[in-house]
Amino acid sequence: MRSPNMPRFLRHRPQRGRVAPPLSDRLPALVAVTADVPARLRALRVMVIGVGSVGQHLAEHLARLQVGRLLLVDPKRLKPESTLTHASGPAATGRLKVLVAGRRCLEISPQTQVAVFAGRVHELPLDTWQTVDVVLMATDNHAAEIETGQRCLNHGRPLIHAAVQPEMLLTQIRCFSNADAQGGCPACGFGAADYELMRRQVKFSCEGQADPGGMAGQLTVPPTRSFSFLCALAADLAINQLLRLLLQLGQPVADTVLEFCGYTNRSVISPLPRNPACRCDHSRYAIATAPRLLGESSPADLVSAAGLASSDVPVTFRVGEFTWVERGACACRTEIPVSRFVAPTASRSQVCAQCQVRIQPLPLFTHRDVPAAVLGRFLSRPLRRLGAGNVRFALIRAGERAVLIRDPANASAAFPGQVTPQPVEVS
Amino acid sequence: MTTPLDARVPRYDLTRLAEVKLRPLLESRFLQASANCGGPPALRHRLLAEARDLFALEEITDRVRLHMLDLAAGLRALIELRAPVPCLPNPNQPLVVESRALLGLTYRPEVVFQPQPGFSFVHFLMPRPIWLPNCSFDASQTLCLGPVLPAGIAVKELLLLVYGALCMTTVTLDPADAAGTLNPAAADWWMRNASRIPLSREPFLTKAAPQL
Repeated sequence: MRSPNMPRFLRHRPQRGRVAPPLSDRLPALVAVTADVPARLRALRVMVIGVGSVGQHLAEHLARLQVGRLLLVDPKRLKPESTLTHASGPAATGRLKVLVAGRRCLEISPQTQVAVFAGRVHELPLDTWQTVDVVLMATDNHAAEIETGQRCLNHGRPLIHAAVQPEMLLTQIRCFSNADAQGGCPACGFGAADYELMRRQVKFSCEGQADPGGMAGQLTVPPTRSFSFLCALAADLAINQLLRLLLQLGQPVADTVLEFCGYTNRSVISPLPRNPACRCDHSRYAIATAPRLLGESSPADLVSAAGLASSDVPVTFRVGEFTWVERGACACRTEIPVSRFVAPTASRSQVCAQCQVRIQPLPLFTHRDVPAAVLGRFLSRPLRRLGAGNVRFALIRAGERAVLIRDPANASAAFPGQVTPQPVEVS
Repeated sequence: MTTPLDARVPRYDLTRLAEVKLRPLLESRFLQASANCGGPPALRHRLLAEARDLFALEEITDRVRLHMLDLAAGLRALIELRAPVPCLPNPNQPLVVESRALLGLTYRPEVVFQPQPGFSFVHFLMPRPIWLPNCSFDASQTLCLGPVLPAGIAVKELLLLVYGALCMTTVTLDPADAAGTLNPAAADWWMRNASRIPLSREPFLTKAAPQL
């Protein structure tokens, strides 16, 4: 099954006579670095969440570093005003930000595998986070920051958050190592005012109140006004922190926030501790590969594979992007047992034998995370027989323990549901 | 015979539900539901608080009766709500106003952080077919409570919105309005019968007069 909500690779269109120069042509001899820097960067898989004023600069820097793989995530399109702060020009107005940035990255570094996801970070498939090594974030709303921070915590991926406060010519680079799930996360710094802004769905977008692409009813503060150089500065500092984290340059930057104020030309580095009252789930997923195809495994097998068979707290299952439909309804009956996993893209559904009307899942009896008690007698049936034949991953959770089990056929895929693409030809 | 007004007004309001002392039966049902509460600690605390609010509502008013509560992965509740429920079994017959609705409430973990569309919380199992502009005229009978509801909205607020929607104290009759007209035919019908709106002006937290 291939969901429409999947990252997709961009294909390089080679230009006649152009040869991409190797990184080593401009690579400085970094002091006290013995590692093979080009090799480390070629092996690096980076996700950039938010490809706007800051994020587009981030993406292009990463392309110039010739990282191995780049995944760009942003649902929005470029506006005429974007030319004031973005790296792209006016010709790109109206196009998806990820496509514009992705194409520019491919032009800069044809050897980088560039994939794009034109959706919100919440819509990214859960196993996508396993396909990247580090995440860079430059978003415009608290909800996306929390979601990104949460996923990086769960999957143990370092997160570098670049932000600007233009009124003070301030840039902030937060570096969350997520070496274990006990460190800080973006939500750890939230106070009551931040949660109130999130509750009111406030976005800090360049588009401000004129944002037609936002969710209906979503409030925005007046548009964030910034300078191109300030956004680029945030991106520059974020990439510097990334290199320091990756190559262990200078003092450790893990779990610190770097602030640079343009009014005073001063920078301040502070620690990023965990807030004990943080509302996020500070737990790390254990990662496992199923001993056989997930479709051939039963939920009970998965519990055993996850090592949670003896758990005395309730166990829940998330089977890929499938939902478990316990009961549905049709025109003649208010409740009909269905007991099947249903794919989000399923075009066909069961039809009532009596009224010939399509059986609609009842929301109360439709589960994305299925409690074991709800599965009942179906616990020992293979997922394929329950409707989830082609499943990439399953998340088994018992209290604070969670295990992400990957399908052996998909575990080495570049992105969920995809095979690793062939190297791009460069003419 | 009439019931004195003060006997029908509960001592608590929606802001003080945490102070409500549950009777032993409700307390034991709450503890039973708590035992199956799953997820990370912060979510569990939130779900338990929301669940207790539901039991507190059942304690102080007969408007709400909780038939099922599952906290294993988010909050799922089967709730009987005493409210006027407009139904139109046959377009050629008069409107029937039932006195109770059985509704399914789904409160997913992401509600805590993410604004959710207004149709993602409540659907009606009984009665059928409900004749409201913002209730879908299909098998699922999904109720739309607005375009987007704020992140972290409380369950008691959702129930208040549902009650307002059923009483039609809050109603959207314009089929072109993005605020949630799921049944244009019903919107048209109610526009032609606007004199019947609202169906009730009774406050949410009153107790029903005893049946004599």
